Amino acid sequence: MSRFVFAIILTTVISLSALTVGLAAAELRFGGTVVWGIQTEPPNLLGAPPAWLMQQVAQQLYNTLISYDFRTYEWIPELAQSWQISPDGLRVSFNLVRNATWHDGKPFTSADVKFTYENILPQYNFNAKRFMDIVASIETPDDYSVIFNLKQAFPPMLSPARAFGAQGWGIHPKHLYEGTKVADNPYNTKPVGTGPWKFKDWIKGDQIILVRNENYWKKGLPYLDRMVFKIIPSESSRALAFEKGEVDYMWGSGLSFTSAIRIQNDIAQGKLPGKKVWFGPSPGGLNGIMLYNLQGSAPLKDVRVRKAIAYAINTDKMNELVWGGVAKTATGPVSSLNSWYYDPSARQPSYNPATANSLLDEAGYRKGADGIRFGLRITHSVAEFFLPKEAELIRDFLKEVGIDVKIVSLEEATFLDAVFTRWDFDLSLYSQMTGPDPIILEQYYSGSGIQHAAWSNAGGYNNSKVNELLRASTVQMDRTKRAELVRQATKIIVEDQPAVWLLEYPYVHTLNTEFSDELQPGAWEWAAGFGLQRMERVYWTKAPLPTKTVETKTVEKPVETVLVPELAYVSIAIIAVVIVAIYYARIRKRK
Amino acid sequence: MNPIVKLVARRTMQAIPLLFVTITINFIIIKSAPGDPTHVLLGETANEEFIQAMRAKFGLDKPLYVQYITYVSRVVQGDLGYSLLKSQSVTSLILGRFPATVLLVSTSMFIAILLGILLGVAASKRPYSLIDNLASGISVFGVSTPTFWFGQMLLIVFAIYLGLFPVAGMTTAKAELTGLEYLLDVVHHLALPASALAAFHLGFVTRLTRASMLEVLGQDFIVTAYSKGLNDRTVTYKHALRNALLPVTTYTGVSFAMLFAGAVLIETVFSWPGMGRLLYDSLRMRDYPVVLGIFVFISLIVTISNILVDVIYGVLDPRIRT
Repeated sequence: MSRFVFAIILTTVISLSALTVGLAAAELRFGGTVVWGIQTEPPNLLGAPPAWLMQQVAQQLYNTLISYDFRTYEWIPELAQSWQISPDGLRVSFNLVRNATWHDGKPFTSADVKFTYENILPQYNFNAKRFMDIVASIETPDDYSVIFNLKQAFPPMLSPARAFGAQGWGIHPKHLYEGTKVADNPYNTKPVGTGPWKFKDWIKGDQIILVRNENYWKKGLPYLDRMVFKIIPSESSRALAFEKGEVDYMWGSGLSFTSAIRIQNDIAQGKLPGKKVWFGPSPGGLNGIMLYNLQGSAPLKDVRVRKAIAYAINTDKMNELVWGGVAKTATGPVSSLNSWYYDPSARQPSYNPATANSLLDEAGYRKGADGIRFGLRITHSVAEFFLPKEAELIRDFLKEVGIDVKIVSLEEATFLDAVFTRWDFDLSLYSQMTGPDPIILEQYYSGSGIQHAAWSNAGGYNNSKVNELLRASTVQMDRTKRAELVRQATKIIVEDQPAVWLLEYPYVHTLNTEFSDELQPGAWEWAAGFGLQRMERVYWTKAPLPTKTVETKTVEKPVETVLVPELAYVSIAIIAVVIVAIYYARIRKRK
Repeated sequence: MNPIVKLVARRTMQAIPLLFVTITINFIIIKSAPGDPTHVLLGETANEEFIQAMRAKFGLDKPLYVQYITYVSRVVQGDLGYSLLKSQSVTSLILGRFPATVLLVSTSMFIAILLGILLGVAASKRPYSLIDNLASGISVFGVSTPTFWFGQMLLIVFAIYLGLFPVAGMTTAKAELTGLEYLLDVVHHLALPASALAAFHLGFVTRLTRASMLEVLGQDFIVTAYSKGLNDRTVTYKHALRNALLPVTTYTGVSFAMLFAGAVLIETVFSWPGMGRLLYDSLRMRDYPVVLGIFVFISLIVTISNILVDVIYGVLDPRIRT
């Protein structure tokens, strides 16, 4: 009996201590520096440009009006502590926080919001320009209230990056931008925001350093001391830097698929302790697409040919060979990740080369003596590692059904110019976001999207019924009805087949596990690239637990950069002096 | 007037039309490439109107000759323009990145010349011996290996396997270093990229020095020097090398420009924040003012280094001093 009691007591004690250890593990730890590897240096640190590659740094410096819950995309208070949207969607009022201050100490007020929306965002962020076109006025009845009056309902405003939150919507200080030209303002490169991180230094070409905002209006946050963004343009160097521990974290496309798999194997074999590499979903659903130019080569104008080519491409095989199976076959223009408006029943043809052949015969394109029916070009950029491989696979698939494909491999800017500006292509291979708001489909698949602009409707697809449905969905405030309209449009798009939708791509993330997002689950995947939240609650597991006296101020030592140019100039000076000395030595000798 | 001063003055005068021609050709070439910088700033969504508005803001909608004239008139006044993609004036941008490249290039040059001359001299003293063959092997390897491959190999061996050197950048991101520690940190980061960049020129200089020394050592005055009783060291370095260095000097001046080109690859592999990478990035993003500014800069450097080479030549060889 006593043995039994003893066992129970022992178990209780053990589990209690485990519990306390567990609790201690989640206890707040202040301190640490995280080194974040990025591939492109941003042109400036404005919180306005929407391209996520340009925003990774800026997103941590500025706050937006609202943030997003990672899973549901519901609004979370940020600079706005509460809000009200009128039932007709024409009036959105925000009640702002009272205690926010700019990094220079001045108080944050509604005037900053109004100024940002009217003067800064529309210049750099096309979505902002579009939104402001339908904003009739912005009222600021007092310092902490902002009211947006819209000319028409704009349901996309609820989604990230369309009106009130996520990348490209940072609130900027009016007192530093008023009366200046935004493009030339010096604060673009030494930014002042309200965010958890303050700008410290930017060593051009090398790194950008942010430090903890001691006076952040969300008291007690953030937990880390410093965030260093290290600019490493070469992918292999990024991989090596991560393996060596010089870089702690990379988001999105930091690593190529091959490097990711290699490092994952090394981790599995125990060669790289404390590191983690994983594949995550892309917010909004990044899909690979092969677009048809409907205004180009004649065979593509026939829907049977377009369907036949879809039948000829084996996306599962492509997934296996190029992505090792981690991607997912796409079924239509929308990624399955956007579940609220994705239509699983609207599916493009799956692999069936026999049907492909018979459709092509039916369309009147018989095989010639050499087995070729007709030729097409496939144009792609070399920006991503998978594009050339996929192009080659497609060429092989289409060869099987008698279509001779020529691969046109272009550098990024040239690709954008050829495909989107000049419409000079037959098949175009690239990737596109299919969410998080369905309004993006208008850009790709409606007549109004036919512009000579990057990522627009370059194929020339124009179906009036689709145009109507998509247009209606952009003013329908009821989410269910809106999703239904989008699904109807998707069905028609899939039938018309203006493109072949290939794969749903994952993102690759890498992390030094000393850093944890336990207190902000999902931060590493969702706060980083799309700015759905700030990285406020990530912490360093090796930071000391706070002692009785909470003085965690570290003495800031300025990072001296003057020595490098001085070193260079001194070496030149020495060489010059040596030359002159030799010269005069020789002159002396002559005499 | 001092012949050296005359030489420098003459060369500087010649440089001006050369620079002008360089700018014109570069302008035509870069503007002929399709694409423009708007796509970088605008991201995934934009419509034509917005892009045109941006283009007008950059002055890209004006006819080419107008853009050319505007650009040249600014350059003449010393204004290299403003980079909208980097938010600073081109001059400050280049001057900010220039020291890093100069550091890299001059260190590589230093390594290549010093080691190359030593190896070349040693090889020429004992032709066809082990050391000669070793030197030949090294030069062939250095000259034929692609710079970026060699850089990556150095990275893998010394930075990953042996863990002796850092992988990327100019400084350690985690630490906040100052003073001597900072200097040493930079040197630590500089070691591998400078070695990789030096490889090619080391090979060339070794070969060149060896050949040149062999030729000089076969001449009569060397026999005279030995028969005068001078020791081997004096004959080799003070008499023979002095003459043998002439082609090496010429080559060094010429290769300075090539080193900048090689620096682009090395800077990319090692993420070294220099001018070479700036050129590559700006080219990719069609940042015209920066690309043109860098070309102007490099033309200037090449011109100056050619003048310097002539001066040094004059110092080394009294015969050509007119």
